[in-house]
Amino acid sequence: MVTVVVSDGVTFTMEQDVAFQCGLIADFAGGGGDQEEPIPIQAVNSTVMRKVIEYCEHHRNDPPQPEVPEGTPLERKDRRGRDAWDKQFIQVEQELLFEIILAANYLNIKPLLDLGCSQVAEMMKGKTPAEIQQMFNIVNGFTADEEAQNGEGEEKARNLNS
Amino acid sequence: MQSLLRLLANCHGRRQREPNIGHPERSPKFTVNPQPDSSLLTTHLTDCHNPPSHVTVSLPPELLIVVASYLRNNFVAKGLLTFSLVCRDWRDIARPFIFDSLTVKNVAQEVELSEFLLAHPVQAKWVLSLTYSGPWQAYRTYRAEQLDAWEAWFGDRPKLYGLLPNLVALTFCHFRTSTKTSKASFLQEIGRGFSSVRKLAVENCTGHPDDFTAIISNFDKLDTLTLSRITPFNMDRNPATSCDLSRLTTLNIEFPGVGIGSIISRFNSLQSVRNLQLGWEFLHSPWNSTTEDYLNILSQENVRIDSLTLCFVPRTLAWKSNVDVQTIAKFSRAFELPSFRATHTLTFVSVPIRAISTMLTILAARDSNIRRVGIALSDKDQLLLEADTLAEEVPRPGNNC
Repeated sequence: MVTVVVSDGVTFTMEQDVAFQCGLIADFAGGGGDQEEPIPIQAVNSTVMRKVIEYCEHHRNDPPQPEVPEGTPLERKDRRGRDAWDKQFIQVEQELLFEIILAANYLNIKPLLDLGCSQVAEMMKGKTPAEIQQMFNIVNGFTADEEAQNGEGEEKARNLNS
Repeated sequence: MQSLLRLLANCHGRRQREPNIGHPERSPKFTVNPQPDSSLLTTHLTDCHNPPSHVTVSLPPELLIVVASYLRNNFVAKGLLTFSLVCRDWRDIARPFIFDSLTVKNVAQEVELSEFLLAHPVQAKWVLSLTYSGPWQAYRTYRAEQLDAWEAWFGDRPKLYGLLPNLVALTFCHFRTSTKTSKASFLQEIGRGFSSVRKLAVENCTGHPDDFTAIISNFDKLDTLTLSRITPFNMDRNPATSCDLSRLTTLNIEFPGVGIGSIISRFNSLQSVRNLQLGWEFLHSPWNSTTEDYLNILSQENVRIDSLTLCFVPRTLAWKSNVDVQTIAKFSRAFELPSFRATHTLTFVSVPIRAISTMLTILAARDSNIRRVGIALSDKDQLLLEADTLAEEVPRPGNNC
């Protein structure tokens, strides 16, 4: 068993195969046996850690992703995609979603990081730049000149590829 | 050591991760440098993010790069374009993805693009993969104006010469290597102009086999070559010319088309090739002798393949018949060749289970070094139909296989 203590002082105990899906915890434990002392995870709070553990428990029996030789067409590279459980799991409030992504990045859980980032991309689809600015609370920041020329080159590249 | 690691874990600085741009849905031809060069991001990521009122968490730039990599697949639907219009920081994150892979379909587009890149050299640095998509399609009759446009490709040297300093991959698709008035000038000229390219794909093209070898020979730094659906003008498998591919490490023949043998029989010096993908299409043609062609090139001296992928084109008429099994059985002779003595990885893509079973049974009876066998079925119907018999038919892995 592996025990971690998160930023708000809550302690979580989990089985090794669940815990070791987090690269950071696996590095801590050094691949060895049970940890006596709880591992401090100061960058993650208990709400997010619960979600992370839920994800790791669900995927504890997943086979490791095979190495793909260089030059393999991308459509053959990753066929796993998101299953129904993953889609349901990642349907959370935007703030919690960002926190899960940050936690996945910090704890080094690549599949969860990819799942979270692809969900953010999903949220942006079909939206205008103004809607995305509102959604992410972002200030435009373009000068008047930039605003006038905005997207000119990008649109050209898009036309070439369409 | 434990205390040191604990100390590190308590540091709030986030670990930099390599972004994954290998998105599953879109299919660029090559995997190219996945991480945009951060030195090309010209602005600091500070001015766009207001202290948020209702959102108290934001994503750092390295994670926004991962998000953008997922949007690139929605490119045609303006996903990445919209991303780039959100603010200056996001524009700088999106640009490398927007420009990394470009396709030109006619001379006018090439002129337009070259003028743009000449005026914007920073964007030119982001172009890693370029596709020339010509107008040739098999069995199609062209009108006069289309033929004029076709000839125009061959009339002048490529406009994008010298403008793409970081170009890694080049693809030609839908070309004839020559026209009535010029012979291979355009494609060969491109070979001279982009000779630093490491990855080349030639797809859905036609021409004399010697033209293809001449074009490929121009790329002296080539490490990956993909040939797909090439229709040569003649099927001569005893060529006078040959093509030196001594630097090549990966050779992919995805869809052999008819008569691929007349081209690959011109390849020599394949001693550096370690990854080989061979595809089969079951076309009724007197020239279709794919298996023999493959066996011939693999019989060359000093060939040593580490990883072999066998790829059947799904939904062909043959997959339910015995043709596939016979083909595989015939190809399994390859494992007696010296070139496969060191092969350790064997992957089947879209190969019917029955044929896989036959192949593995043959391999299990031999002294093979294969340690990894991968099975990927691109056709889900096929998987469902055959899955019940998988456990019974596929032999259990032995010591070697």
